Amino acid sequence: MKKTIFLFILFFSMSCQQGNPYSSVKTNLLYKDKKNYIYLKEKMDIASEKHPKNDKTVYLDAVLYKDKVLKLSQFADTVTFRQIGTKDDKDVFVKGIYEDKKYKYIFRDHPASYPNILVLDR
Amino acid sequence: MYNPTINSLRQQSIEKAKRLKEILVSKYDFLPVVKINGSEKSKNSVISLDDSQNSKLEYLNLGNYYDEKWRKYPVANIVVAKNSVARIPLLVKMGYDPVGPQDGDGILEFKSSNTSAKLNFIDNENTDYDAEDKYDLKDSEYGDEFVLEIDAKALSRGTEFTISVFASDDDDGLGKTSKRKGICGKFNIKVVQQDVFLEEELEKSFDVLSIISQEHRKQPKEGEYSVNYCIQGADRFLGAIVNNQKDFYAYDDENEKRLNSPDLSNAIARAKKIKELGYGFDYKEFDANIFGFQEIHNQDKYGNNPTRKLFLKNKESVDNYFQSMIKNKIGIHIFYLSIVDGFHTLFIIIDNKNPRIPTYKIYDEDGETSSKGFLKNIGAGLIGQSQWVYTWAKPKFGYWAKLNVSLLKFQRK
Repeated sequence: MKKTIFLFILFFSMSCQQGNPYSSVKTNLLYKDKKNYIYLKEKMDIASEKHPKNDKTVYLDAVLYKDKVLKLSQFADTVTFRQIGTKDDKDVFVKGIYEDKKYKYIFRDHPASYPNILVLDR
Repeated sequence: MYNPTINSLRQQSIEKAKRLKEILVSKYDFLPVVKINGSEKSKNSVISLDDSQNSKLEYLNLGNYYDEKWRKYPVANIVVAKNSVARIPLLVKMGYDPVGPQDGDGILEFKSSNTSAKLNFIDNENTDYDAEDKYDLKDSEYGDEFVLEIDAKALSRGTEFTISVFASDDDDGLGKTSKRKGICGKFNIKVVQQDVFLEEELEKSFDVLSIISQEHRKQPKEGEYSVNYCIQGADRFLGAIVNNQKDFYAYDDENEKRLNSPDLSNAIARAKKIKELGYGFDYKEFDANIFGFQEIHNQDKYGNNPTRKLFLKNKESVDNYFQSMIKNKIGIHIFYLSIVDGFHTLFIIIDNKNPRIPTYKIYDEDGETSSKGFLKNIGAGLIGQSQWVYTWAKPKFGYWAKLNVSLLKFQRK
């Protein structure tokens, strides 16, 4: 019986690992891949004529900082990183606001854009 | 006494006798018609025999030696690549079919009005560029099929020139050779312009789009294609056309690696940036006034009630713009497109290979959209795409977005 439970747990944990290539760095906020690049977990509405999808979970690793596209890993301090808001009264496209000890991170879902995270100096 | 009827009949008899004499004299003449071989595919070129307002066709009169059906010869308009060798399939037809014997072979001579254009002739059967596969213009026969190659590398884009074909008799070994040398074909050539593309140039881009659309439709939970990908997709398509991974968004699918990430935070700003980089022929914005809407008190599929049904208020200005962009430009035209105040990024491909009936298709990251058809209906295509984006965005952000349309006509540098 114990052996069966052990195998079940092993199988379950392996399945989870195969399904998600990211491991948690900060629960429900920051994740990292095998190369240790940091990702922000967010929700996005996928706009599509034929295949729209609402509230799709996405992992974002690119940020815009002073007109340059860079990696979130170059900025995020995983210890102090935290969410401070989910909207901005002046900008309807903002869906998440985060900060750490040095930077502020603004996640915008739309209009069509890349990257979706803007990094500002605090 | 002068009798007009008798005089006219006499004149007709003289003409008839003259013609008969010409026919008798011309039995050693080589009288071919060198024309486009429509059953073979051309390469790195577009051949048009359309005679329309957008593309006028020139006609030659090959003269009375030829049978009546061949006398009026349409001069094909041909657009050729600048950096690749164009291949034009040709056919040698018998231009005069007498009751008795007629010389069936002779010499063809091709004369280009621009000596910088290099011409080469290869057999239709063997087009692997070996020297032995050359077509011998000095031994041409009725029924021959061959390929005219045009190398226009030394010419500037947009250069126009003509290639005329002349036929003369060879020595048939019968002791008699006709001295006649006459025109038997002509082609009006243009080196493809900076903002016009050939099908072959888009093959790589459509391969890229095919990967993007297949991957994006899978809606993966993570990775490159898990996000909204319209602006990246359009950028990758354009970058692949001009083989530029330095200025356009680029991703290596095989190694799952982002190669270049320019700032794509706004499609309208991006269009202007692409123009600044030298890849924009023309930038155009239509403001929201080109559209009107009708309020409908039914729930649409995005939950709006009332919803809005769009219509085009100013079809003429939309039509005129696209017509002016493609006029006298045979080939393919590409437009980077942003609609509903930047909510969606797409691109338009206009196929003007057949200028009498140009067509369009609008693409996004999922490939071909539902908007396609004759260019004269492109307004309906813009409405089709704007409609779903407009009604999709309303419940998400709580306001009816601006309906402006921005377009950048893409060009090579």
